[in-house]
Amino acid sequence: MSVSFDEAAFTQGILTAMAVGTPPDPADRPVFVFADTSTATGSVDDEGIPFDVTATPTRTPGAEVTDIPCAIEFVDAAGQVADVGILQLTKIKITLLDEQYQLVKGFDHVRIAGDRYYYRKTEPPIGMVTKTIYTVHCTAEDDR
Amino acid sequence: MTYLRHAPRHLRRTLIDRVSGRLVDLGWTTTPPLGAQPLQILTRRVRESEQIPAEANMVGIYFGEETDEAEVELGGGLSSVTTRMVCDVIAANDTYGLAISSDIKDCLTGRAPGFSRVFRLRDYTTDQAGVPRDDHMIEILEVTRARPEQTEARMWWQVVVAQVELVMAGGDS
Repeated sequence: MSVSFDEAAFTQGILTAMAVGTPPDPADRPVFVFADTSTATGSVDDEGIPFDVTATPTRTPGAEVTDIPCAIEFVDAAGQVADVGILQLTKIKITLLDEQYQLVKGFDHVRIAGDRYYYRKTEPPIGMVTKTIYTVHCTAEDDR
Repeated sequence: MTYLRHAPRHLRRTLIDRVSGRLVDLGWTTTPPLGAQPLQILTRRVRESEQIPAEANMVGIYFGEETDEAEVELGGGLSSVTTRMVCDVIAANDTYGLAISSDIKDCLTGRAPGFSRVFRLRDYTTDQAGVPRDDHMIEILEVTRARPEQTEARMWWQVVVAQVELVMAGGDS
């Protein structure tokens, strides 16, 4: 069975829908932030921090990737019963097409309007004929 | 006897090197026995966000709480703290999990040839391989292996827990 699929039109449609949901103020748009790295000479631990307290490692801020078309769903009040009561985990779900996903893959956290949401997991990718769609879950900084 | 600043960092590194070094020497990370896949060793607790394939064999080493210092011998200038070392073993099947965790346990209990429950702390301040210190001794007090039974999702998960005591010299004696 042959499937008629206009990949360009589909991709553009999805990106347009994502653009519609993007906040007009650039400061409110998602920024994908990669982890800082630490480099030092001599004897260091697994995080690149020297054992010698007089040594000074060089800390390089992680790259920030902006203007990535994506859809963001905010999930709150999805409480679950635990021994200490109801935990209100604040999460976001980010949907990305494959090209955009490759640009942010491996990010540490995403900053939106000043709030940080840390990477948690990526769902198994789903396909739309020739396109691949990724759904990434992040949790708010205080719920890590 | 000299004071070692940040002794817990050196303690953790010493224990991690001891366990991971043993697993490497036994070939688990390169040419594993029993046809197993190469073992991956993480020096932290395995997190969901690690994105590590579930079929791989993996060990995550991390540490628990540390007690207050206690004087070992009145006036002797020695004090001790205890802490807990945890080795999560997540294996491709139950046999590999048991084999890997047994090798870890034998290393920690001193049953493996060339190993002992009591050994010197290594000082990593200037040497990546660590320099053994005569004034800081480690003793493995108790080693247990458990296989969580409550959850089917982690049915090949073994946990080796060691209670560790560090006896150390003070700073001014």
